[in-house]
Amino acid sequence: MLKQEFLSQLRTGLEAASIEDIDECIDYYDEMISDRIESGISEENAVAQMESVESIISNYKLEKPVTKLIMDKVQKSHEEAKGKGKGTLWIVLAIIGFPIWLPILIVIFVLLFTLYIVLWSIVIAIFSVLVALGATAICGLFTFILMFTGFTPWSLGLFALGAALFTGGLAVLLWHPIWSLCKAVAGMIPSIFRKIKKGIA
Amino acid sequence: MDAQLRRGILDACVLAVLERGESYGYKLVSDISTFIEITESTLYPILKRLEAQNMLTVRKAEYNGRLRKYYSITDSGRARIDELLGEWEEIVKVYKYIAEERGDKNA
Repeated sequence: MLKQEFLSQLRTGLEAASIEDIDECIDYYDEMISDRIESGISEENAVAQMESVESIISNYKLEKPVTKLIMDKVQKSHEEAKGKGKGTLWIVLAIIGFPIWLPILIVIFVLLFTLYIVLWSIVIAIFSVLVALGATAICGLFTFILMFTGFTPWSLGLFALGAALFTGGLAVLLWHPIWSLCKAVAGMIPSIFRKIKKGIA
Repeated sequence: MDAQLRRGILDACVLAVLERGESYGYKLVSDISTFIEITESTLYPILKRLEAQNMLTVRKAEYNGRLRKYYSITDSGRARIDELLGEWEEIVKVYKYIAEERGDKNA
């Protein structure tokens, strides 16, 4: 086998083993074989003196910490799963980690749901102020009208008219800022959840 | 030999050879092979690790129309040799103790 063929096989093996610095490793063995050739050994013999591609990869992996190897394996499996739509390791990890990830997933879901409810409650609460002012004004006017029928005393009717004018005026005054505030908060909710989704992904 | 112990010894060997002067991959394998078995595939990760630990520096230089990497020891590398020699003295003491204990029992 000649040098280029050996280096090509080594590259394929390193790529399959998901080793990061492939070019650097290839340069190293290129240099090693070239130095042997220059020391007077034939190209075939220089390549033959090299270890097998499997042995080179095995020695390289032995140097790596176990955690790094596992992370590489998981990363590779994740990439494969993304590309091909399958990932045996991910399925195995999902099954083994079931008692851990399920409660965490439930907690995350509950927290997100609570946040969703709280944000919409703020919108409803703000809008309710406007509705309450409007409703008070209408009721006040109704009470004032009833005063002419004799159902309500004059004093209460006039008080109701005053209250209706006050709350109605306030409702008209606050309509625009409250409506804008509600729209702003409601508009923020999807973007907040988009950011959370992006952070999780 | 235990893999961990062998790794420590090989680290010390590489650094000791580099203490003599700058060297390159093939020469390092040739020099170290005279007293302990080492292959290219064993040396490569050692060089990478020692470089990452700042115990040696690497420079590329042109040689016969191609690039060759030259390795030099740093002060941290020299300190590591002293450290390993200190550790080795302790290992020798323990070795002697174990050997004596065994000798007493066998006697």
